[in-house]
Amino acid sequence: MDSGNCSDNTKLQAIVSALDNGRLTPLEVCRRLKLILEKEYDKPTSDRNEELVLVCEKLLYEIYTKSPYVSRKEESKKALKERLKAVPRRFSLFVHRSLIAVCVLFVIAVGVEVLFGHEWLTGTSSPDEEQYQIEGHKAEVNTLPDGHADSEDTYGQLRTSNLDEVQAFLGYTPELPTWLPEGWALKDYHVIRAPAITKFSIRYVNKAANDYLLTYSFVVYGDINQATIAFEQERSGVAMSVDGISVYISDNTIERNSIWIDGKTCFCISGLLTDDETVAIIKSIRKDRCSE
Amino acid sequence: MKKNFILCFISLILGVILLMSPLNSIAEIAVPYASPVFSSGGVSISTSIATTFLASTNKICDSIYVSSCTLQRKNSNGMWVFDATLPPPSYVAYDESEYFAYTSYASYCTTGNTYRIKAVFYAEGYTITRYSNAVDY
Repeated sequence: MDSGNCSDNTKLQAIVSALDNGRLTPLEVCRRLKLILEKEYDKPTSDRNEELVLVCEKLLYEIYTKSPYVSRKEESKKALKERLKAVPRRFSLFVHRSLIAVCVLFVIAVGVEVLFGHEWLTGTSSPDEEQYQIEGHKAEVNTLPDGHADSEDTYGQLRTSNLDEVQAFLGYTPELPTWLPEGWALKDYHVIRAPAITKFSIRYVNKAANDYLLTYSFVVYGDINQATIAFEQERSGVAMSVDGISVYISDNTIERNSIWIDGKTCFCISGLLTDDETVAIIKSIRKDRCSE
Repeated sequence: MKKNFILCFISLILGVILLMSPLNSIAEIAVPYASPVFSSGGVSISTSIATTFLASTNKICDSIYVSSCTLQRKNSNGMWVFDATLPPPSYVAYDESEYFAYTSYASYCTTGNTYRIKAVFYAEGYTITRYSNAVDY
């Protein structure tokens, strides 16, 4: 290989001196240089004589342009680097912006949680199964306690058989059952208003029920921390799905309690009812809500 | 004589077996908790110790009221301990199935403590006991 390179270089020197002495025309020099280059290009890259290629290319350039060869290697390298850099920079910019967007969304989500809080009610049987306990929960991120006026103006209760009075007292129309088992008739309404608690209940009576009442009620907790109510029961009850809501049903001596939770409101139907009757009443309340 | 002794011994053994039998356990389980009068009850306190008492019964009762009220404080071990006997609300619901009363017990509390209230509701000879939510005062 070394001998090959040596002969090529000798050839090249001969070509250059012939050109300088005027023995070869520039056209002939070009032809010979091209032959050398073609020969080199045919070789594998590892065997190629890069120096010879470079010298031939320089000479060809100078013959064609009739001006000295000026290397633009560094300039080209720089331009190439810039181009190569531009692609990952664009990509990293995209990733960077995406990360910022995710962070902003997270901060907004936490902010909403802090400002408005996430509050909910849960119901569980006590360890001795004696009660079904409703408790309020709040996302811990909310560090500011809720403020509720404790002035006596905010407390009050109303017992009436007039629904208009109930609406005026509550400030809205409560959800009511539109179906009841045969024999039950409305007795009256009862509304309790406290700063953090509103309770609405309806009593129904039935001559055949031996003074037992059928009661539909709901408690709305303005301050979820104050949600503590427990329903009496013989033992743990069962959960039943009615129109997509989970209803907890348990027995308390001869009456049946059906309890369900919707947001910060706890609903209950108590009375001498069968499961089918309970489901029908709940469906009528839900239907009434949907038709509003 | 010997026959009688054997009979007595067998009776004694049978008696012990019956006492330890599952039938006895079933009898214990069958005793219902529940309340023949009360449906539900609850006590809620605000951060200013304004206290709301709620109870419902399944029949119209001659009277419903809070028979006793106790303030409990959480000690350094995280246990609830007796702190003070509180005067129950004076309100009595007559011929009612719903009980609602409110009162403030702030004067019984000192700052820097965690409190809850234990209340006993009474109606028609039956009682239920309820504990309020805990509040940092």
